[in-house]
Amino acid sequence: MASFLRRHRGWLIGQAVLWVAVVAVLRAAVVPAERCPPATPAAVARGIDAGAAWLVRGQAPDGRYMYGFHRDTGQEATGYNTTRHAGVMDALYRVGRTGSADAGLAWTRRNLVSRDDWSALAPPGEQANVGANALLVVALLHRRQATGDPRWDGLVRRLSRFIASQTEADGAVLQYWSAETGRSVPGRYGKFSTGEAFFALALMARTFPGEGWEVRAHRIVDYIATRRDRAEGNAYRPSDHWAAYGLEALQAADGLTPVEVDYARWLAGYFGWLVRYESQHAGRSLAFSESGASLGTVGEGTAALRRLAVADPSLADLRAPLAERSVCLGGILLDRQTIGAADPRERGAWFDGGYTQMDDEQHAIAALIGTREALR
Amino acid sequence: MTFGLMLAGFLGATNAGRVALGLGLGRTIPPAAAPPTGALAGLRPAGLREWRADRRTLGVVLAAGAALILAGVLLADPLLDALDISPESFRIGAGIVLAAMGAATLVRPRPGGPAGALLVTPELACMAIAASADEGVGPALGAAAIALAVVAGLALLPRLAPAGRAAPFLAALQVVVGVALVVSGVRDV
Repeated sequence: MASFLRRHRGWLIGQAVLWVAVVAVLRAAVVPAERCPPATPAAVARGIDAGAAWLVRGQAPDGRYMYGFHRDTGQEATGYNTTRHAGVMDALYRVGRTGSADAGLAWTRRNLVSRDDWSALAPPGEQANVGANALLVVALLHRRQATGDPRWDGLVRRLSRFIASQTEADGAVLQYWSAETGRSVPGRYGKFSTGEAFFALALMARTFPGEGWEVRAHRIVDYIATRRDRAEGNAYRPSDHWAAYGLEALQAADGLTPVEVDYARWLAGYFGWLVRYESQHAGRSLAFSESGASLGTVGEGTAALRRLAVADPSLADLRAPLAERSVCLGGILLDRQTIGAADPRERGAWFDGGYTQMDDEQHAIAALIGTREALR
Repeated sequence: MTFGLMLAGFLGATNAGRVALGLGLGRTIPPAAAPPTGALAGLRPAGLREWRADRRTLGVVLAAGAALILAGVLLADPLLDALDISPESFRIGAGIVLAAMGAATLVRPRPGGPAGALLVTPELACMAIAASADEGVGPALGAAAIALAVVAGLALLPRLAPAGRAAPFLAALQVVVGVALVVSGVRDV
């Protein structure tokens, strides 16, 4: 034995270094522990309420919401974004804060432009953004679902016709329409607006069967699933949570094609990996962005696909793992929410680098709604 | 992880060609020196002694490899549970190790160190854990047994001079399987 050790001393040291290096690198960078903080139904409900309360407290008399807040300086952010406004309205309708969301709706109604058979949200000096209008459609349909009130059905159809008018023959969706020229802005496609348009039209198809909205919805998602990244020069295929929502809605409205099912499965894998990665790296140097918006969109996509997997037998094998990931992401979000701060501009919000923005709360709340459903 | 991918992973991680090189097997026996008949045809008396010694070493190699595989396969679930790692995430880690070590073998196919430890490698340990965590003990051991049989078969054919030439091909296979495991780990929920 002693002679063996003497003869192979160098090799043994090399092997020891190799094994320790492999284990250390794997543990530190590739497979750290996956930590999912607890997410009980009561804690999730409290998180949703606190996040929604932050949005409502920040609402101005004109119906707009506080755009952002710097915790360290106590400064509120200037600027505004119509897509985020509509997204926040949607989150508030979904959690029953109808009064505040309706006040937000009043602001959008004062900023509509109408042409021919369509209308679009486009404040003075801004182009009409398909993404903002798609989320406005979604918000109004969720309002209808929550209240049973069909009051805005006419408006929602006009907004949807605007989205349809921006959709090209191959399923690509032009992001902007210019009030100045009275025409769609050619060659401009949004990173998120195509998925948002798909979601809006798929939800229209589910809410108003027989009106034909599913035709354009299928066309857009086929484009997203098969051609978008090459056509629009994306360096990689994004984890499109809006497309995940859209697939869920389209499945309920008209069923999914094999291409769409494959895309749903691909998205489920992507979101599942993102949740696992966040559970391994949250709060550490290798973490992705840890804003409420970034984490929330991962949770939204996961939750939407879990609901889709519950509804579609061909995806049944994804139900349990997606539910597990949805609950895990909810726990991560709750762990990062600011609770119990004295300053009401901090309380209930999700900060990243000392800053929070209205879409942090919007996406985090929507993700927690998904967690709440997965816990049932 | 399909059985085919698992088998390919074990074939790469056990790399029969590398083992043959490490054992110094695959030597060409001059045909003129070979006795005409017999089970050990082709071996001169000195070669016969050497071949028997090689067989003993090969037994040690296979036993050590089998022990490592058995430990990895049987301990996979409790180990990953204790470390809070999901099988899907570990698959990514195993894939990176397989790809990196396979690339190293491509650069330097001839192993160093004592012959008995030829199969005591990080990539084989990772492959055993990942396969068992994904597919269970039975299929993982089945695939590993086939790979070990290939190692034994290639090493026991002393006339097979090109045995060592399989090393880079199996290393390349290991790299491909490593990349496939990473992709599969990322794409899985």
